[in-house]
Amino acid sequence: MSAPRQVLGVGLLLLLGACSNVPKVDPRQSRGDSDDDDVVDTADTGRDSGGTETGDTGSVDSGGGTDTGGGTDTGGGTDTGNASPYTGGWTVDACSDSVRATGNRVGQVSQDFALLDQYGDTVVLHDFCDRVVWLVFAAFW
Amino acid sequence: MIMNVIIEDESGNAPNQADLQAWSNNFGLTMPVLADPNYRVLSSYATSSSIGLPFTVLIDRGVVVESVDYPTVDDAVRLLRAR
Repeated sequence: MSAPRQVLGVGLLLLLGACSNVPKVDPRQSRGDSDDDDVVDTADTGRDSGGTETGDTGSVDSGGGTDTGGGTDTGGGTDTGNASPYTGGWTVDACSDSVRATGNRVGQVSQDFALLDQYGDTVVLHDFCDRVVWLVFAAFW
Repeated sequence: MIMNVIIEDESGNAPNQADLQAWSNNFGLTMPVLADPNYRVLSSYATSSSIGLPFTVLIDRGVVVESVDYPTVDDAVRLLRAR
């Protein structure tokens, strides 16, 4: 009885030892993956930067260039000349400068507003004058 | 386009950028998430002094106010499909 238990105990120890070695490999693999992710992320960041942080500076506009490359938008005319000034990538409609507000009641042309967004940019309502906008007001509580 | 406009954080203060970013990240939002300190924008659309949340404003193309208070999702879909 005791011999089989010892064998069983040793077996468990070996098994645990083997298991403890396995994780050492996995993290490396995951690191390798993460490295790969880093590479991918970097690439993505390049894009995002195009629209995110650095993007605001110059790369973003380059991203705009990419969009222009879309050709379709260019053909659209409306979205064309408007590389997104927003880190979020939202394009500005061509009519943004020509909107004349009349009031905030139903049927009136809404007054403009400029509010801070999640990227630190100031979002202007009239920039989106050629699309339907649904404002949803809420609170964190 | 949907814009999520936050008027207060959990403490009743105006949300800052970090709050907005955390909110959008938490829910995976790609739409604009905006802060409306002191409800200035919200108040400009409200027709009564008592306001319930969520409060919504539907704005048609040309920035024409289509409906205020509680438009339905159907209203939004109808406008989005119309051109």
